[in-house]
Amino acid sequence: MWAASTLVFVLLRLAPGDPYAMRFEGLPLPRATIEARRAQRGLDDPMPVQYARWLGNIVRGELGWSEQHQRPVRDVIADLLPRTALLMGLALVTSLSLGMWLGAWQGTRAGSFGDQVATTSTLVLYSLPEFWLALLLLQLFVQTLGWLPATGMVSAMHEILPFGERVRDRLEHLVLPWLALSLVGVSVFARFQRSSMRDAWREPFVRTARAKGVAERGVRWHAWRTALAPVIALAGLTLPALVGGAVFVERIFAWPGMGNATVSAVNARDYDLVTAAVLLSSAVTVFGSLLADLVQRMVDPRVGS
Amino acid sequence: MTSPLLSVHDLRVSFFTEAGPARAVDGVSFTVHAGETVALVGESGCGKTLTALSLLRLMPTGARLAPTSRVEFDGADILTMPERALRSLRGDRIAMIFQEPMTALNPVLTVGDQVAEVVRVHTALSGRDAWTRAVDMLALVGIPDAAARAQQYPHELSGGMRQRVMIAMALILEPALVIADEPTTALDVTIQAQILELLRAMRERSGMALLLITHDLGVVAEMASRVLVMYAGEVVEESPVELLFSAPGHPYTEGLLAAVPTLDTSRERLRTIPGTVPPPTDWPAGCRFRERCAHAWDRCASDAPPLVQLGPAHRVRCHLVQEPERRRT
Repeated sequence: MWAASTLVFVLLRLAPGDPYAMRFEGLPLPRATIEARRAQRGLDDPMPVQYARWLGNIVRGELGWSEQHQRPVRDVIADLLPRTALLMGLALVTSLSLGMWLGAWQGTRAGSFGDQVATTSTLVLYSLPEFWLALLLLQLFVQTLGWLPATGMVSAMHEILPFGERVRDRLEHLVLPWLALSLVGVSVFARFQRSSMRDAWREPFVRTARAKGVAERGVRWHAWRTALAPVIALAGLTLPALVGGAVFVERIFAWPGMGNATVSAVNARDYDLVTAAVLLSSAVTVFGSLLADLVQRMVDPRVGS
Repeated sequence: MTSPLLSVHDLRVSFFTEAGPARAVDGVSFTVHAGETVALVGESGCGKTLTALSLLRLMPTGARLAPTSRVEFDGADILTMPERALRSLRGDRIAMIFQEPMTALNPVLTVGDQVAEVVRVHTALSGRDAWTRAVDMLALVGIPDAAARAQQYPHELSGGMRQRVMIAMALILEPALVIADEPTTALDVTIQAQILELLRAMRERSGMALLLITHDLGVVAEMASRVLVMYAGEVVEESPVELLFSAPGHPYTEGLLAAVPTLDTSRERLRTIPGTVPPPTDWPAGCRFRERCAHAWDRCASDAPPLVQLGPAHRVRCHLVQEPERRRT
């Protein structure tokens, strides 16, 4: 966490320009005014001094000031985070549940026609660039069919709509980015689950379960219980996206979430917002792998003993 | 005589392989009576395990049963009965003990859970009662401190303990027939004796019939009353156990007996049967054992020998039965 955010801190400051250069570029402002603003924010201090100050603030829980939004970083993130968490959370739940279901189904009939169809489809979805898939979806549902709105989280008239219509409006805006993320996510999880389930399905204990008179449903459960480890690990790795967002998909659907905001913050050299976003992502990364480890120990007693 | 508990008639199991059809089990017939222990003996690759699995329709995918094959248990044909009826038989009336208790047990479930599952599947007992019964059964098969052990996972137990769990799982509902596929092969010699002793004790307690699949003639001598010797997918000799050891009828049986080391032979080289079992895609015409047989003559290459009745319970598949003068000494 510390390493990642420090790296970003240094890299951002090494990059040409700073928040003011970006913001006031081309505006007829006297150079002295810009310099004064820089000095006020301490950006003309040597980098080690800036770094020490930043670190001290972070330790005290101060995330800093967003020049781009002209608000405290904490408030900016408090606005962005729920939107990203909503979209990414829905996509993760869908990917995990459908992916595990599909992969487990395939694993028990590896090599069959149904499995081959599913394997080919997931491979194609898995290898498509996300943004291209997003563009295809836009083309189909917005341009050709005209069923769904293209971008944003709500439509322009959202605030004046009656309650029922507002819910509907939100859902309509959610569908396409959710679909783009889930199609890829389901494929990834299904591929992992298929391979572990296929291996488990060949184990002798599956035959033992049948010999005991367990119904096929129960036999599948026996195998599935031992085939969870890789899927849990993958889910743990996916967790940071809940706070980091998905850059391409958010960008294409103009979803006002963390991924989108981080990219524009980088462009605007909004130092504090970028480092805070990275700090948050790396915190969840660490948390995700810890959580995955914990869950793995719960479902598989062989892990760690 | 009463009708047998299990009656296997012309069991044929084949696979389609790249090398052509493999007739891995090729016309096996035998019976097991209630309370009886029958041993199925032979080298690896002769079709013993597949025969055993077929009795509960547990063959690997791709295996095909011949439509004329029948496996009758208590008068019902296992090979054609509906899934549901088959499931209620498995684990309740007919149980199986597998060779490798490490891989045959589910690694992520407690052993108590796995034993109790049999009870939960076949009876109306609640989870708690099933668990209590499982713990009692684990104690009965000689697992010390069974209540605590039941909460452990297979990898936390020794090989012998795991096989005891396997046996507890098979015997908890007192099945009429237990099929044990090489139950001691994967274990240390000292543990093997304990497990055999346990099986014997359980047999006396419940009166179950036991079909014991093994390649170990020592196990046969200790446990079985009747023996079936299999070679290349066929039964080549069926005999009461005393007769098999005193007067074997088939050269293959003789070879198996000669290959058992005794104190007298310990200083010489061990005697073996030359060659190996041919692959099931390529059974030789005529007698399948002829290429490894010391007595083979031209008739063995042209005619497949039938299984000939020698005595009341003694049958042998060899031309020597009709032409004993061909025997070379």
